[in-house]
Parts: sequence; structure tokens; C-alpha cells
Amino acid sequence: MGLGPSIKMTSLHHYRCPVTAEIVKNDDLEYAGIIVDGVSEVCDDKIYTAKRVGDIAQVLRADGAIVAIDGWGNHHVDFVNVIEQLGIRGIPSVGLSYIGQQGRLVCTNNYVDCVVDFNKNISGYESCVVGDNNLTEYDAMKAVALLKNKLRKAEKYDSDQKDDSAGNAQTLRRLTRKTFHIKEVRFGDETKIEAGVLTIRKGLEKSLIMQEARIKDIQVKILEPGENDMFVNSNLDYSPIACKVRGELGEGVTHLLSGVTVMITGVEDKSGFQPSNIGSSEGVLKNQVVLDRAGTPASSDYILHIDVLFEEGEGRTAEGIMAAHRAADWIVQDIRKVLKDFQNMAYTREEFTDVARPGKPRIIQVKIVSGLGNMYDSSMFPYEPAGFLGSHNMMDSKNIPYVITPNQGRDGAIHSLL
Amino acid sequence: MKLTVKEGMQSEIFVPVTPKPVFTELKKPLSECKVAFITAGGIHKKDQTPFNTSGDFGYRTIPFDTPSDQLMVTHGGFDNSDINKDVNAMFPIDRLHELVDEGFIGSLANETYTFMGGGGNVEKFKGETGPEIARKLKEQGVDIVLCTGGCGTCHRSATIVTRCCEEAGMSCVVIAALPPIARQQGAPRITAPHVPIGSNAGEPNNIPMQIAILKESLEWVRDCPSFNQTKILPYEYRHNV
Repeated sequence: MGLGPSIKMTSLHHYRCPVTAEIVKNDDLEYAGIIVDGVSEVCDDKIYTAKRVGDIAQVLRADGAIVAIDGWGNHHVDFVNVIEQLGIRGIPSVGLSYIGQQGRLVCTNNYVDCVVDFNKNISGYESCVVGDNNLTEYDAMKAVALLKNKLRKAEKYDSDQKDDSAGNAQTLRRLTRKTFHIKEVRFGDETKIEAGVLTIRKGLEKSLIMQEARIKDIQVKILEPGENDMFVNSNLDYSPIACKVRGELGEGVTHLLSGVTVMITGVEDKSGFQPSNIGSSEGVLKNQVVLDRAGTPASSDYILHIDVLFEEGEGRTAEGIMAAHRAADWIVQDIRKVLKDFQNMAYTREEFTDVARPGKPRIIQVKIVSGLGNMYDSSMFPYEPAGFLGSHNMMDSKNIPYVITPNQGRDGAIHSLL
Repeated sequence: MKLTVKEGMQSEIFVPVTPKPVFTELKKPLSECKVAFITAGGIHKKDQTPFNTSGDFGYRTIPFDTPSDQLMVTHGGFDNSDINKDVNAMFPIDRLHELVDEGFIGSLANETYTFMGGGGNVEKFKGETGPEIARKLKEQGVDIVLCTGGCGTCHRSATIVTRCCEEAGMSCVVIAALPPIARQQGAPRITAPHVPIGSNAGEPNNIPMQIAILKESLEWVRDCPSFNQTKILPYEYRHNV
């Protein structure tokens, strides 16, 4: 996930990516795909992976790119290199980054000429409030508008063009999402969903504690909407509760619960260390999160709070952090089991399509995500939407860029670790 | 959304400014020089107050006779495991003593100053911390200052303080894991081994590599022809491989 708490993109953020949501609104653009590029810790690798991003963009025949990142400092080396490599190949881009004062670009090049700063804080310094300086719809809207401007200058986009090719639009892939609204969450003897009430089996975390040597204890709590005036440990992630019913991520049918969001937090035993990169986000919940962002719960949501007590030292290891995400995903898995075959409740149905639009400018998004390992990593393609189990972590994949379809992004192909 | 306005806040379009050149030519042989090593990598003595990882422009005083096992790191944003194994990977204090014994350098300053440059406040480092560290080193008669930084903004803070030392009349080099940052921020001289951020001064416990990086960096202080030149060092190390 991100560098500091206030800019970090949670799994929920990637799931509801504002940039993707904005690009698909424009039927005069073709959304050709998303490149997910990991941030490496060796400078040579940063340059290498940026070049590969450029190559992939070229093979995708991209006309323009939006490059979004949730880090600064060394991460900006990757950021400016990607923009440079796109530029060298004749692909104009607009960057989306936290800059403010603290995140001022540490290095740059001639191709970095348009960066939308999504800082929201008057100080210009990161805060320890999750979501505070998040990339929002408004930032995404600006980026797409600026990119259209650049494309127009490069004579790749004509805003006056009549939409005469709508008939040529070709649906490439289809994803159906059925959303079931949950109005109450409570504990009970077995996990079930009935008439809008999600019941979670009490004590389901007990066996997980035994399995994970790096974890001393896990507490599962249910927070009602507005119940936020209590201390919580540093945030590890926010994620949705969703499962695949048919097909792989990005196609087929997905079931999603609305009205409830998973929150993972953690602290180390004995030392009291709060897992973090640049500043940790423990404190009274209402002061440590900005709700209603793409990557944070809605203020009307129940929060399924999974609080992990790490063995001493394990809040600082990549393995410890992954153990927490794994345990949390097992807990959510219990809900997915009943959600999978679930039918007998009203739902909202959404159809997401990846569409080819011949003759329209082809746009890609480059997401530069964490891949530094310890305390700062991402993983790709979990078994279930935005889950962790089955996923491949970025650092182990040497941060070589992935290409994913917009629908795979919208179906939770990216999981954030811390 | 409530919109706020702040003077000096950049938005949309970033215009980079490369700082003005600073360069102090080294006029003595290395074997007669007094050397200091500063770091933005968050190194401090175990009995000192740890740095605030979300941004800290303070510094800690480290006597050069401090045993390396009494030093530790407090720094976010990169993997600290190498420094935890061997503090010389970021702050090669043991290797510096060996270079004095060998006669490669003349002597070490009595004490040096370390800070945590991650997310560092540029203005504070430029206006307060940097000049103060430079003055304290100069007062000890230091000729050469070597410097490392950990993460990205840490390289920036490292470079800012190094520039202050150069301005105060000492000859300095930034040993950079992220040379593009040191270059952009206007480091007087740069050496660049192929190492991960967090192990700028070489692989933990690899004494020959750490010595070689130090020697070549010192030679670059002597040989670098002009401001902001980089020497790529032929030492490569990766962790987790």
C-alpha cells in the first residue's frame, strides 16, 4: 500500500479505483488496459521496470496514459522514469501523485510536464489519517481532462468529432456484479445471511491463531455505523467482502456485500510497535480515517474489524504482515462460502464491460504500486476479489509489470499489503 | 469538498529547479585529510531518542569511538533488515577506523551527526539542520564529508546537508543508492554502487565491498573534475536473492 497513511491506496481503493471509474465514463476514449508496475528498491530495477512499462504500453498501442502512484521519495524515481519511457515512445501522459510539500519530486526529466497533485491537506505534509490525502474522483476527472488536452495537442483526439463509431464499439469482456445490501451485522452460532442480516460465527478466528506462528492473537469485532469513538491500532487495510460465483477475476459473476467493509489493524505484542512505513495510524478511529473515500468505508457501513496482535518483531517483517492478511482473508472466506450460493435476497445488478472503440484514442492507466517488500508491498490476482489468499506478491515477482484488463481491476485483482 | 489555498503550494505542473553549483576542491592528499561520515539513514545510538519516522529534522551526535554494536536504525520507508544485521551497510564506522589504521585517510573527526531524512522538511534541513551540522564539522577541522541516505526523500535531505558542508568549505560526496535524486538535488559529487536502498555503503558484513566503496568514494572526492558528477561503482548486491 502507500508510503504514509494519508495517501495509501487500500485494496478497497484499487477495487473502486476512481481513475478507472472516470475513464470508462468517456465513450470517446478506449480504455485499453491497466499496467501494474511495482516499486523496486534497487535503482537499476526501477529503470528496468519503467522501460518494460514503456514497451507494454507501446505493444498495447496506447495513445495516452494516466500514471497514478501512492508513494513519493524513492517511488518518484519509478514515477518519473515511467513517464519518461512513455514519452520516449511518443505516448503523452498525465501523472497523479501526492506532491504537497513533503512529496515534492526528488528527481525529474523533460517528459514530466503535467502532474495532478492530490494533496488535500493545508500543511502539505502527510498525516496519519487514512484516506486524508487519497486520490479522489475529482483528481481523476482533472487527469482525464488534462490527458484529453494533451491528446488534442498531439492530434490524437478530436473533441468535435461526431460520435459516429458508436456502432463499431465491440464488447471484449463482460463482468456481472450482484450487490446485496447488508443492513445489520451481528455474531451468532453460524455464519449466514438472512433478510439483509449478516451473522458471523463467533470465535471463527480461534483456529487461525493456532495456524499462524507469527500471530499471537486475533480479535474480530463488529463496529456499527458511527461507532468510531474508540482506540484502534495502526491500519493494515480496508477491503470489500466479495466472491466469485462464476469465472475468473474480471469476467463472469461476482457477488458483493454493501453496507459492510473489512478493516484490518495490528500491533506488536510487548513492544507495542504499530506497523507502518512513514508514520502509523493508530488512535481514536474517528480521528484516524476519512470515511467515504474510494478506499475507506462509507459512513453508513458496518465495519468488520479484524485486529491482529503480532508476536514481538513480527509487525516489522513482510511474513508477519502477510500472515495478518492471510488470517483476515480466511475470516472473510467464511462469509464468502455463504455468499457464493446466495440467491434469496434482492440485489443490485451491474454490468461492467471492457469495450474496444475503433478509431478512438486508446488510453491506459499505469498504477505504480508498492513492491519494496518489508512493510510495503502489493500482491496480484488473489483467488477472490480483493482478497489475499492465492495472490502473488510484487516483490517476489521482481516488480515486473502486469497488464490487467479494466474489469480485472474492478474485480479486485490488486491487493494492498500495509 | 472544502478547498483551501496555501501560498507556495505547487499544483498540476511541477517545475524542477536544480540548485546552484557548490564545489570545494580538495587540496590535500587523502592520507592527510580529516574525514567525517554523516548519514540521513536514521542511525542513532541505542540510548538516544529514536527519530520520528513520519518526518524529523533533528540530528543526533555520534562520537566516532562509539562501538558499532551500540548503534541502531529508526527509519521508515525501506527495509531496515540489512542495517539491523550490520550498521556498516549504511554507516560504515568500523571501516572508517580501518582506513585510518591503514593510513588511507589521515584521521576521523571526534564526533559526527546523523539524522533521519525520510519525508524531511526541506526548508528546515536547508536553513537550520544543514548549516548547523556543517558548522560543527568545520569547527573540528574536517576536510572531507561522506554521506549516505536511505529512502528517496532521505537522499534529498542527505544531499541538502551535504551541500551545506560543501558550502562551508569541505569536500563532500553522496554515496547514493538512488543517484538520480542526488544528481537532481545538486550533490557536489556522487558515487553510485548497485545496491538496494538501505545498503548504500555495501552489503552487510561484506567487509571488502564496504572498504572498496569507501575508498572509491574518497578517491572521487579527490578526482571528481566538477560539480555534480557521478561515478558508477562496480559493486553489486541485492537482498533476498
